[in-house]
Amino acid sequence: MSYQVTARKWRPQLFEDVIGQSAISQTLQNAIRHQRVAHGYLFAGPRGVGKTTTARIFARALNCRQGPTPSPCGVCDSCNEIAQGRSMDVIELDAASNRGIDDVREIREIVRYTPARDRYKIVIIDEAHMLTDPAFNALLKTLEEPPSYVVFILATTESHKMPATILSRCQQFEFRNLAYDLIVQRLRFIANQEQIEISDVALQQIAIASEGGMRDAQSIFDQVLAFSGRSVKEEDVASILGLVDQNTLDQLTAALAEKDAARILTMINDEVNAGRDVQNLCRKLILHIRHLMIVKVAGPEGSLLPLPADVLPNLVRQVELFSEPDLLRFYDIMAKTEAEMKWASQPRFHFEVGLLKIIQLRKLIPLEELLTRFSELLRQAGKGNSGSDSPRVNEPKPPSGSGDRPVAERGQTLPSRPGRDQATGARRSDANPVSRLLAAIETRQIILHAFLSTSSSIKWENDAIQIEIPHGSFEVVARQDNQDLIRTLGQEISGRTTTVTIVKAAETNSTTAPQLPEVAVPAAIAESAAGGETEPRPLSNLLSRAMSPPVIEDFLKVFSGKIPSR
Amino acid sequence: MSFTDIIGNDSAKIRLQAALQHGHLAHALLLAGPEGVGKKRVALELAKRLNCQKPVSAEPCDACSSCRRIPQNLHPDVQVIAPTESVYIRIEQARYLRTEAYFRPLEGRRRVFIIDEADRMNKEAANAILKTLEEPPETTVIILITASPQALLPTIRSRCQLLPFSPLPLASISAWLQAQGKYAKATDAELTARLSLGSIGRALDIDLPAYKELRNEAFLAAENVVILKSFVEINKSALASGKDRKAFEAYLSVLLLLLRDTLVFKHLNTMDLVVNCDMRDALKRLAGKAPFELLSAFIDRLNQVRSALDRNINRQMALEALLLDLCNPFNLSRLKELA
Repeated sequence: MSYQVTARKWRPQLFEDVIGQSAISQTLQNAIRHQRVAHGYLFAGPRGVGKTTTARIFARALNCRQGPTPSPCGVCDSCNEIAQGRSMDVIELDAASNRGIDDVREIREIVRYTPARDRYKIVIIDEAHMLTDPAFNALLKTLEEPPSYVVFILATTESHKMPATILSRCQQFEFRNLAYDLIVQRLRFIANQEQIEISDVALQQIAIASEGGMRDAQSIFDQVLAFSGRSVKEEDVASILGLVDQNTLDQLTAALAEKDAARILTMINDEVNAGRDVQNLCRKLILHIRHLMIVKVAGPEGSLLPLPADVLPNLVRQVELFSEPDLLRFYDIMAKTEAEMKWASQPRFHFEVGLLKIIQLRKLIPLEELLTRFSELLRQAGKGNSGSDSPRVNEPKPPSGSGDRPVAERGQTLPSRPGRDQATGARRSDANPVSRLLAAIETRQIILHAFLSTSSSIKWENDAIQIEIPHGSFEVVARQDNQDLIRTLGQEISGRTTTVTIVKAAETNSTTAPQLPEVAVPAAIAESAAGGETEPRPLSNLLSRAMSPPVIEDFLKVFSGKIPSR
Repeated sequence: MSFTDIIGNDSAKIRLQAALQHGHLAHALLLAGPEGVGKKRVALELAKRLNCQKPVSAEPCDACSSCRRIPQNLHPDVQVIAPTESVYIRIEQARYLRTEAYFRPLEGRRRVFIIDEADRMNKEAANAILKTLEEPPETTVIILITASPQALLPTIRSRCQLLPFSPLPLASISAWLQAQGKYAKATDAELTARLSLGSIGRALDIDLPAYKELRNEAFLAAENVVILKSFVEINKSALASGKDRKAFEAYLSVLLLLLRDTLVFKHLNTMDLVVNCDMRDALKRLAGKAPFELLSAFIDRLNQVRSALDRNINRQMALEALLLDLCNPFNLSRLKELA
């Protein structure tokens, strides 16, 4: 019968024993030292981090026989009675069950009388956020100007639910979640005192599972002890807690990377059969993805990852399997799935479908990387053909580890669309005059260039250009304005007067390989050009403009594509 | 009846018995696990053991007057608190617990309070038991039972010792069902076991012929969308929406389950993890015809309709719109592009 759970048995009795809240302890102790004790305090913070405990210690510090003292003696009547919760002058009130205005009126009644024996009359209102609005308001006047011997301590996990009028009448203290090594330290202390054998790793697992709440950690600690007795094994901890261990997450991530549906489904099945909560697993997976994102963006160092050091190398390895946009999409899908799971009668199936969706996603490649790859391809293709040297090729590959964004900073990384001068300039270094001529034509008259690409041969000897062209294209190329253009450009390139002759190729000559890969010309252009108009019609004009950047042509070459006729 | 008579979840039972023998039983326990796996039975056994007049090691004797009265809710020191007709456990009940918890046992050794479906405590009630849950008198034990521990306040969870329960192995359920003589055919017992997802309670609730009928209807709708794509046929499927809300919800979940099975079969090509284990050929046919994008979109849309039910949508229009939309070829190609 005398068994007490750890959280109760080891509830700290001195400010020094409250871990992780040293700033608050010190402030309160100094207030006592310098006789600056306020009449209203609000302790806010998550569950199990020491709010009620601090309130009780503070009450003892104020009412201790030796006091008011920063370190209550713990032996005098006052200290004892407060510890046992039966002091006349310390009233601990459960605001969650006494939440109405009548309960507050009772408090007002109580504080009208001076303390029975001790220095102060202390009212601890726990779970204060549950008071009703009228109750809060009824408290306002008393809280603002209580009798000199009264101290109010309000404790709550949800300070955002407290009215501003209450907040402004109290000194507020924000209790924080505990760093997990502090929890480990405290558990280690308790384990030593209770003579329990437990490894550091096991304690760490408990601390992680507690998510920063000391009481959670102690509850889990008890749970483990109830199972294992006095010597605790690490594997016990994981299995008892139904903890989603890091290993499961690692394997799940690996399976996602490999798109191994069978493994994922089997894993979920195993987890469910082992009694793990799928929703919890989903949440842990989301957290894991978040960790991966942080490693991806900020690197494994830094305090953003509340994880033990031995997990990090794993994370770093896994991060390599995904790109940042991948991770963002995973996060999105899983977050949606998790929301759905809350209302589903069978959360497991939602989880499965969510993961299968992720598998089905194609991998996203960051835009920078895609561009680098593309210019790489371009360079390889360009080698055999023109040998022209794109300035972009030498651009260093963006570091894949950090900051690769698929869309942002487009202006910097996308090749600026080359203007005409630039394009001709780039090709000027070309050794072969014919390709230089074609390039020049391409920048001036893309349609003509397209027709020329069907030519069976282009010869340029002794200042004479001879173009042999099949019947279909002859009419266009042979038009006077086009001939003039070719002549002018030829003269520009060679620097001498040049003649141009256009010859119809024999019909049977169709097997002759064209100099350039075939580029199908949209019918509209062909028509408009064949129609003998001097100016292309607006539509073809648009099309020709759309096709004019060399990039397009390069695309067609590299991927041996065609622009389909309409 | 004793701990050993409860099927499965040996680890939970062992832990409880170990705690009993070490005298380490916590004052607040949270029994969490799927419905119908024996949580409440375990809680009652524990209450019996704590108050039994002649306990045998970690088991209650099952013969003394305490042991006989506790399951019938006739023992003054063992009380079960459960949701009232109003679906919630309300603050009055929590206040009752608070007062009662501070009394000494009347005739037994421990006062035991079992809060069934603890996640049904509304916010006020949950907050009102916090102080009692944290520091009850040493003769009081509070046992919370829930199928969704995540729905409890974190402040409640942090005050309890968790005792997780897992689903029962399918094999033992189907064996149990057959032993009870509920199903003549082994395949039926197997299907029921899979549908129960490891819960005997649920397995007993399943009306297999009704399920199969509903499933045929749902399968037809799925097939219409995936294979036939005739608007007339599809509109016939939408007639399912004529059911009342509860039946319609059941229809949707059966349809969802079928689609999930198809998806699983499509990926694994085995029936191992498929729930509807007697539908191999049908699922294969569906999986062969349905692209992943379609199944995925189908499931998403069904989920949407389901959550929209709470907003009192017009069921027929929602279902029609869903089915027709999925058949729209333009839509499909767009879905593929997006995927």
